[in-house]
Formats: sequence, structure tokens, C-alpha cells
Amino acid sequence: MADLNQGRPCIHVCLIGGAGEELYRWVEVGAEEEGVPTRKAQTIATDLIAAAYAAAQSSRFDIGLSIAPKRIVLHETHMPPAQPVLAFDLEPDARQICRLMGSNAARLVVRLPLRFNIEEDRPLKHAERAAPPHPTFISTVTETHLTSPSPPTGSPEIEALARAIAGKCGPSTPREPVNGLTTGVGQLDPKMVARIVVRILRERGMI
Amino acid sequence: MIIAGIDIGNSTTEVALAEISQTATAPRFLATSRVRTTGIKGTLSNIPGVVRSLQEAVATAGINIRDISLALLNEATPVIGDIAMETITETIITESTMIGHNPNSPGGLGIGVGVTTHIREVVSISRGQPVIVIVPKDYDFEVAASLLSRAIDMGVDVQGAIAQSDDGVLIANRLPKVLPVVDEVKLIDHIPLNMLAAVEVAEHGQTIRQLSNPYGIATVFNLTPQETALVIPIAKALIGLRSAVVIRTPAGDVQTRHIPAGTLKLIGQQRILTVEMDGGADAIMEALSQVSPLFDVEGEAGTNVGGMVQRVRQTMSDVTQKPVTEIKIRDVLAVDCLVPQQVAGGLAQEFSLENAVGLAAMVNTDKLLMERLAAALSQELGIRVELGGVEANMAILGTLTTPGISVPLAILDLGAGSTDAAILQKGEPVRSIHLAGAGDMVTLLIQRELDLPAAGESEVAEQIKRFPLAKVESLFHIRHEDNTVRFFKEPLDPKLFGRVALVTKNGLVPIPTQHTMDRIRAVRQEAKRKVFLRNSLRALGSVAPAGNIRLIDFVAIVGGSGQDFEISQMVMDKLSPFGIVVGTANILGKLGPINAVATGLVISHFERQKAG
Repeated sequence: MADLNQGRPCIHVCLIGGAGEELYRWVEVGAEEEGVPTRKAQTIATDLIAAAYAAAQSSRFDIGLSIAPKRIVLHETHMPPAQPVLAFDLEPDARQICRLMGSNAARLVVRLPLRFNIEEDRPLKHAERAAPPHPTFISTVTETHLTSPSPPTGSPEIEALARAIAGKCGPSTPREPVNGLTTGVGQLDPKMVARIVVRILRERGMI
Repeated sequence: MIIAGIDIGNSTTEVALAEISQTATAPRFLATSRVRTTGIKGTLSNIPGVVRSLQEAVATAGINIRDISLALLNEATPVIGDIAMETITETIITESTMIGHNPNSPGGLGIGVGVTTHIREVVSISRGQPVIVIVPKDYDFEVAASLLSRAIDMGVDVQGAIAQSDDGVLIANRLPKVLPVVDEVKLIDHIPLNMLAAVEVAEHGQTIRQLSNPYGIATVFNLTPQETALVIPIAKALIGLRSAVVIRTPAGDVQTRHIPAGTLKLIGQQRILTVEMDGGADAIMEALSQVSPLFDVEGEAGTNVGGMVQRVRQTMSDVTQKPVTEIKIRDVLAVDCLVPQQVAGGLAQEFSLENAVGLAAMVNTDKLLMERLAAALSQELGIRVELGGVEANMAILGTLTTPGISVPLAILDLGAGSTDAAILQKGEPVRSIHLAGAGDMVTLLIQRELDLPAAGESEVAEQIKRFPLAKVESLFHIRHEDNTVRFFKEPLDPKLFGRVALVTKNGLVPIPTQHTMDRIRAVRQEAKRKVFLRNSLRALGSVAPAGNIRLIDFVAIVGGSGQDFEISQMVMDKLSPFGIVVGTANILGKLGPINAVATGLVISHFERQKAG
């Protein structure tokens, strides 16, 4: 460890029980987004909470973390040694939970409210509003897509959609400005249609 | 015999239980109680609240409801109020033209202008063209940073980036040069590609300057004076933020649609005045004082205020079961406020502050309602129920049980639905007035100005009104709103850390908003001032001898809002320059400002019995 780094206040993180280096890196990322540096610390403790407390005691921020393969603990020196600030199981997504905990450690330093959940992909209001108006149309698109992978011909709507799909899928073809589709799709909002198509494609893993 | 005084208020139902006899010199008070009023004041749905309140009181006194020989209800016109609020301007952005928001941590610094380009195309784009790169969240920050670095090394003129996930700092830290990166843009799919866009991230602790200035936007996009006029709503919505994106789309017309606020027609005894709502609350209240006494109010049809007045009338009509045309609005209180409105067409759920006017209105209902209620209550309880006396007189009688008070006396009843005043002078009958707007109006203002969930969904606005604030600064200490610090022996719940919380009897309760403690406090105090100070002056002015407040010597504050931790001080502060002694009543020497009417009902009955 660089001597230069020794003097600088950091959040201290120790890995025990064979926890992977990668997990430390995700903690570091979480703290970096909040602008707080971290450092890996050595520990002789074998208990997770004791290790976190020791890490906190060695940190000039008074904040330490310890990571085991299945669990991560956040501690602060003023807390009772047996009572960590937070402790999370590394399930289901160890990397995201480590990042979250890194961000929480940093948030203790910068005094922002802590986060308790990984940001789930909640459906957004706008997206919901955009989708429902033409449900029948969506199903048509889906069917077309299933039966004929080649650019379908027929109604102008479908053609416009096909162009939208081509524009989104093929990275080599220069992407047509979505606004340019207005004529082809008639009354439908072309952006909306393109968005729906993209969503369908994404669900099917095509992009 | 044992009698019960029952006061049904807009918010609470209060009971005073006392034993009286011919020989005693004063009623012996056994117990009091206070529960939430069920339903709207003066309707049969009040009965469950009355029963619960009586049950509580008899339980405290250790007797049975059947032991009560007589229950007394406050007589005469219960006054019910309703409140409504409408914005008078609304910003509408027809195409996706702006993202202005305050992610906790945007990355980089500065302003960049370029064409919006998806990150997967950034390496293949032509060299000369400045670009703003769009980074959806399926691109990990390392992948995004390496793609961007590669593009920059290849000579692509990357001017800035817009990221979907909370990766702004991480991406910016991994780039070879300092670029503004706005992150947490949830609806990134809605950003049009191949459009000219500007990204700005301000220095830590500062706010953006260029994009919150109409001429700044005009400079960036080369706008004509006509177009510049159109971007004013954008600039306005971006003021005070740390990061923002403005995208110029050909169809991106920005409009501020003015919903006509309409006019309010105040019909008085002598005069009729019509006031413009967008003249603001002061103009309305000024006109109101000119037409006083008010007979009715009409709102211009097809406008916001028309809808508001109509709604008030409809509610009142439903309650009183009178036809809408017979409902007369006898008082209004108008209050100016600024409410955050979600900008239609924004991409990151932006808000813009819009002007709004809140209106509390009040109608007088008739005595029949209370008589109907008394009959129903009598049937329900199996005891005699009578109307005991006019509310204002009863409140004065109850207030006179406060130590250190005597006649002449004015009371200021700060309730939930109305602000009332009454004055008692030697040898004169009690004069009283009921005005629209009180505690519920304060709650509404707090709720709308801080954009909190509506009253039905959550109590948070009501709680903010009632409790002082504190900021949880560490796991062991909080800072109160007066800047004093309090330490705890046991660590606080980590869920409280960094949050603004209410200091309640049951401990700290975090407030689920992003607002700072100072802002919440300012909104709360301003709401209380706007409603209670104006109404206190109006109420006292109309009962004072010769309409002159200075001629009043003593004022006692009663009512539920008198219990508030700061309202009574605000009123005292405001009234002291008039040379008036103002204080909070202490009914029966122990109850504080509540239970005045219920206590007064008992005393009044006792005195009538003695006399007759």
C-alpha cells in the first residue's frame, strides 16, 4: 500500500473467509460514485462484525466494511462493537449489494440518507402511458415479427415499423431520425411505435 | 345529576362531564375527552365520534353512559368550511425538450453542446461533429467509459454524456478529459437521437447558469428572439438545479398554457365586486373587505375558480341536503402559493413551480341540522340530548374558567375548519364571527407546496404542521430546527440517518421527501402565517368595538390550533403592537386551549338551572 495513501482518510474494507477481490472492487465503485475513497485493510479477526469494527477503528473516517463470501457488514466506531450499522446478505446479486453497501459507507461520510434496496426497474409512468393506447396494434406487430423475419410488406404502418426496426437493429445503417417516420405511420405517434418495437425486441433478446 | 357538554368541531369532538346540584356553587367537573370527529360537522355521521368521546369520558370518571342525565350539544349554525386549490399557470412541453434534475451525483463539470448519439454509434460517427452521448443502463460504466475514451482518442468531439443509471461520477472519472455527465435519467429511451442538445453540470455547491438563463439557451442553440420567448418555461424549470440537459427538437415547441384563472364575483349587502383571480390573494381579500358583509360568491363559469366554487357548493349541498342553489358562501379566504407541478413532457420527472391560489370557503347551515343530530343521538344513547347554547357564547363561558381572565374579553378560536372570534363586554350581548380557513387550510398549503401525498393517502402534511423538525446528522446526534444539537446514548435507526425527521412524542419520524429542513420549516411557518395571522386580524377586526382592534384589551386563544407549538406565539407577536394582551387560554386551569365550548355548555346549563 502506498505510503501516500496511508495518511489520507479512507473507508476501510477488509475481506475475510476467502471473499473475492471482485467484491471489494464493487464496494469501491459504490463509494466512488459518492466521491469517497476506500482502501483495503488487513485484519486478523475472523468474525465478520469484529472485522468490520476493526476496519472502522483503523479508518480516519471511522467507517469500515467487512466482506465474507455470503455477507457484508458496515460498521462505525461509535457504534457498540456488536451492533453494526448495516449488514446485508450477498443475495441475489452480490455485486450490486456490494456496490450499494459501498455507497452507504460513503453516504455515512457525506451525510446522505442510506439506501436499503437496489434500484429496481420499476415501470415508469411515461412508459406505461405510451404503451396501452393501441394494444391490438402491438399484437399485430408481434405476430408479423414472428412469422416473417424479412422486412414485411403490406400496410404502410407495418412498413414504417419495419423501417423503425431496421433503424434500431442494424448498427451499420445510419439511424433514421424517428421524426422522419411521421408520414408512414399516419396518425400514430412514430416514436411511440418505435419504442414499443424496441421494447419487444429487447424482451426477446434481439438487441 | 351528571351532565355532559358535547362540542362537535370540524376536526375533533370534545366532551366535558360534570356533576351539578342545586346546592353547589359551581359544577364539579369529572372528566373531559377529545376524539376525532367522524364525518362532516353537523351530519348524522358525527354520532360514532360523539359516542366514542362520551365513552372515553365516562371511563375516566368511572361511571356509565346511562348515568348521564342530560347531554348538551352546541346550538345554532354550525359553520362548515371547504378548501380547494388550483394552479393558475401550467407549463407544457410538447416534445421531449428538457431534462433538468438534481441527481445526487452528476459527473464531471462544464457545459457541452452536440448532437445526441447512441453510445454504440459513437466510435463510427464522423470526426468533426460535436456529440452528446446517450448511455442506456445496459452499458456498464466501465464499458461506457472505455467506449467514450476510445472515441475521444480517435478524435470524436465528445461534448458530454447522459446516463440512465447512477454512474455519472464513475464514467466521468474514467475519461481522459473533464466532461459533463448527467445521470439517473430514467426515461432515456425517450431522448430523440440526432438532435442538438446541451448538457450542463455545475461545480459542487453551485447551480447551473447557462441553461437556466433564456439567453444562455438562445446562445447555445442560436435562437431567434421569438424562439427565445418560447424557452422561458424551460429556463424557469431549471433554476436552482445542479445539472440539466436541454434538447432541441424540431417539433419541440414549448408552451406555457395559461388556464384562465377566472374571476370571482363577491356579492355583498351593498355592493357587488368582481376580482381577477390572478390578481392574487391580497386583491381578493381587499375586495372582500369592501363588500362585507358577504352574501354569496360566484366563480366565472368554465374557469378554474368556477370549478372550485362549484365543488364547494356541491360538497355543502351533499352534506346539508339542501339544493345547490340554496347554498350561500358567507366567507372566503384566499391564499397565494407556489406549487410544484410535474412538467408534461419532461424526461426525468421534472417539476416546475407554478402559481396557485388556495380558497377556503364557508357556508352557514341552519339549526335544523343540529336538532336532527340531537334527536338521533338521543335515540342512540337512550339519554336526553338538548341544544345547549350558541357556540360563541359557550366558548366565552368556558374560557372564563382560565385563571387570570375576566370580562371584557375577546376570544380567538383557532380551529381546523374555521377561525372564530367572539367578544364579551359588560352589559352587551356576545358578538361573534366565523371565518373560512384554519388548520385544515394550513395542512393543504403544506401538502401542495411540498408536493406531498394528499390527505387521504398519508398524514405526512398534517404531521409536518404539528411537529418541529430535526435533521439526523450522525448515528448519535440530531440538529433541531433552532440549530441546537441533541446527543443520544443509543445509536439511532440507520433508516433515519441523513434524513429530516419530525420530533414527536413517540420519537423521530423520518419525512419521506427530499426537501431540506429549512425549506420544510419555511413552508410550514409561511402557511401558518398566511392563514392564521390574516384571519386573526379579520376576525378580531369585525367583532372589535367600532371595528378597531386597539379597543380590545384582552384576547384569549382557544381551539385545537391554539395547541400548536408555534401558531399562538405567531398570533401574539402580530397582535402585541396593537397594545392587546394576548395569551393562550387554560380552560379549567388545566386543559389548555381546548374544551372551551364543552365546558361552557355545562356552566351555562348550571347557571340557567340556578337562575330558574
